[in-house]
Amino acid sequence: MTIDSATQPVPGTTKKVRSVRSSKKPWSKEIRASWPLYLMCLPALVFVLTFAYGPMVGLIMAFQDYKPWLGLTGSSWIGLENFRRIFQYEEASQAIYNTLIIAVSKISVGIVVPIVTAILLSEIRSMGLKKSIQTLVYLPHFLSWVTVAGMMIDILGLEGGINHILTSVFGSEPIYFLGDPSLFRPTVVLSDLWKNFGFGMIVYLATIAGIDPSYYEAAEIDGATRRQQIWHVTLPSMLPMIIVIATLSLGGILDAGFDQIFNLYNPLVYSTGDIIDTYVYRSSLLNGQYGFGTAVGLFKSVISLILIVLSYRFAYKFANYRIF
Amino acid sequence: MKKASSILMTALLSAGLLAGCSGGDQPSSEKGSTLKDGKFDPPITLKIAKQQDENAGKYLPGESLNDNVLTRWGVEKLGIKVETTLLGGDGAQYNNKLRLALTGSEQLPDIIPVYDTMLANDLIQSGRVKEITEDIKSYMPERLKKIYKEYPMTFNPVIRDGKVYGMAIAPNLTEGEVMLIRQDWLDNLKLKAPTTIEEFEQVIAAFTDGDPDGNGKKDTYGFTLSGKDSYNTGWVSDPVMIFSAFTGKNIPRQWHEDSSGKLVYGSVDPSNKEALAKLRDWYSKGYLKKELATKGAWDALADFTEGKAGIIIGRPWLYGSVKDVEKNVQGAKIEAYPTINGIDGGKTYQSGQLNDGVFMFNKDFNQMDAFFLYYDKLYDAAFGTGDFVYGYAQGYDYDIVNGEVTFDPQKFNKPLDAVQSVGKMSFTKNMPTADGPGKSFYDLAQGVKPDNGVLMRSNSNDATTQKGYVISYENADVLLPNAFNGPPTKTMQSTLEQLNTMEQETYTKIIYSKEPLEAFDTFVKQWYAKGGEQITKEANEWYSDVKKVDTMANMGLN
Repeated sequence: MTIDSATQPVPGTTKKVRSVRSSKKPWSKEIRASWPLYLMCLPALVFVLTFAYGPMVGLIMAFQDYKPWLGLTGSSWIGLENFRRIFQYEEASQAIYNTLIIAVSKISVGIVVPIVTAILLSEIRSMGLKKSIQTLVYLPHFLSWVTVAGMMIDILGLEGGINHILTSVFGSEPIYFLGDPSLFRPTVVLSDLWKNFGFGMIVYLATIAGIDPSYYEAAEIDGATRRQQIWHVTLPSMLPMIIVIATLSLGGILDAGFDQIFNLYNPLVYSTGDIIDTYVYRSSLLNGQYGFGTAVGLFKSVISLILIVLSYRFAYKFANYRIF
Repeated sequence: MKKASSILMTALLSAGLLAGCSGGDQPSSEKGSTLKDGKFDPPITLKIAKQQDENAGKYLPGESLNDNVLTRWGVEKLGIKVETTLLGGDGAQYNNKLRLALTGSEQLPDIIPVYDTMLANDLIQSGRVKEITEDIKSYMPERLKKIYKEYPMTFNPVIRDGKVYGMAIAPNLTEGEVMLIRQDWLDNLKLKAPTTIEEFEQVIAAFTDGDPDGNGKKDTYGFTLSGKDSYNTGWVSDPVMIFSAFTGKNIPRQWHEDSSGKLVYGSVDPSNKEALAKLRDWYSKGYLKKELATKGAWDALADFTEGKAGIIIGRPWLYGSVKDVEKNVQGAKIEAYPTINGIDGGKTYQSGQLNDGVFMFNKDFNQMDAFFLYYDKLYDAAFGTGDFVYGYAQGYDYDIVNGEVTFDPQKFNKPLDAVQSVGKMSFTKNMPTADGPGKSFYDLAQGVKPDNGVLMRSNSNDATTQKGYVISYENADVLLPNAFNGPPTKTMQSTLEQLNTMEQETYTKIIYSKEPLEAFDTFVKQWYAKGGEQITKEANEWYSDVKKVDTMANMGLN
């Protein structure tokens, strides 16, 4: 027996409930009836228009050689020159490539590992053990990267803890985790995972806790083993949440983690570790170069928007699930 | 009731939303006040911009940004009220606020300290800052003229077409770097402090392989340095001495004027290859800090403080930051020495610093006489004259306890947690200094009695630090300020970072033996091809533009 997420109502999906009362009454009547409520929406609306949409006018700077004293109307137009600069040099393209690789790896392990741990944790019977593991893996999330990176540089260094064990216990050559271009990306991804998976796990644990126990009872009566229950009940019930989180994290595809990389990288690993943000930071290109800075920002936002729209479509098409 | 409360709520939220917006204020500069007996009557106001770093901005109870011991002194003694109308926290925030002022959404104050050459350039281009050649000529007091005469290149960033749009903030050739060596290790191994590259090699080899601490373990090495961000750090853990030993004035990451009067870039000089070969050899033999590529300049100190490394190079005050080793390790003793000589027998050069930022003035500001009067008075603390013989204010940055001058805030009549930095309370970021790279220390060593604040402060340093400053003063000729100090040129803005990235990567990989030594030649070729040639051309165009007119003569500074 299977519980198909497409046919069974799954906790969390409420699309049937939407729009029960709207569209029956005409606009004007609706407003007249509940105008105080609409009035209370107004500040929020004004807020969003002023601070989220208003500043978007500034995006035209991306196509200008912007000078503050000339303003948006007085600065000269230079077409796509600012965007061309992003791709002009191989170092910059390398940085974009590195960003994609690191971000994709982070997103994928950042989804899989918390799901697996959440399921494993939910199977633990002892509440004490469960809670303490949960707290322990959750804690690193609250440390700042500056602190963690300082520790990691010492632990992973040539004379650090891990290499000390490698050389003295196993007698192998020391491994330069942070100085070897081929090891830098895995190091970054794994250390990010260590720091953040506990936090991601919480959401999944909550989802699992919200699954209707009667599914498990039914499965048990049908003779499903523990493993089958996980595969056919737990996972399908978690799917909507997984899709939501995956979709949202895709928006960060061009954010490979400035804080982390900036504190961990060095000239030996520029080839594989330099990301857009660190590259732009080092060049202090944004320092007073409004046009270029806006172009970089716009470029990142457009890519993120495209990916979010795409993943939303896919989620709808393949998992039959709507987030919005 | 419901309706009333929803309206109220809307009103409150909107008010909160709008609270962030407020109008700018009016420009100052009233004329009609006259100078009588060194005091303006009626009192005038100088509006200033200020970048306040984390050490400043802590006022005693009852004092604040625009009402403190220094502003009150100004009103009382000079009839000049200094009022901060544009305030920024860190450098980036301050620069942003100034840029906003350029858009017209914030008022541009009368006196604007600018710490970014790009921003200075923007201000000049916007036409909203004052040309001050004549003002300097007529109003700058003689003792300040003497200082500015010494450092003509500090005007370069603000010269356009022979016109001068600003002046350096308290220019002064900052102290140079010295070698700090574990004297006890030298003594154990019966070695002398190195003065040449061969001797340096012998010493670091012995520090690595000769068990200098005598504990029977191979747990020490010669020289700690940082190559994470640059091979010319300019302050601590600096490896630039090794480069200069081979390259002379062509030190990495810096421009200098060659014999033909043209600007050349140090990093691409062929002689760097020899320096890299040396460092590569030393690294493979374990004489250098193993993790020089992963540790920043400040982090690289730790090995010295922990008694693992025998030599470190840095500004004389570095002793204060590493002296813990003398407590941590029994028998440890640090001594300061001058940097070694180059292979040609001449001195090794290092990066020198002349000033942090420039003063610029609002185009409509017409009381330069008042500015210079105030500025000159601030220099009293640097010369130990006038109202400020020991410091700016008794009980703030110094105190006299039982007839003794003290700078230790805990010993004040009314003890403080930390000294009040009165020198930061007006338009200078620090107390101005006229001490060069350590003149007061040199004077003290010559037996001059410490009878003013500057000498007394110097005298209160550790003996090793004092010795370091004397070395720095005696070797002032090794300090090379970067000859290119203008705004980044067009090609610099678009490509300099890739060139720096390439440089740092190539240098580091050569030292770590991850690339052959010949990679340096490829780097040089690529550097020129990928924009270096254009950058050199533009840098030289800028250089000839600032030299075109004898601005120093126009300002009466010759």
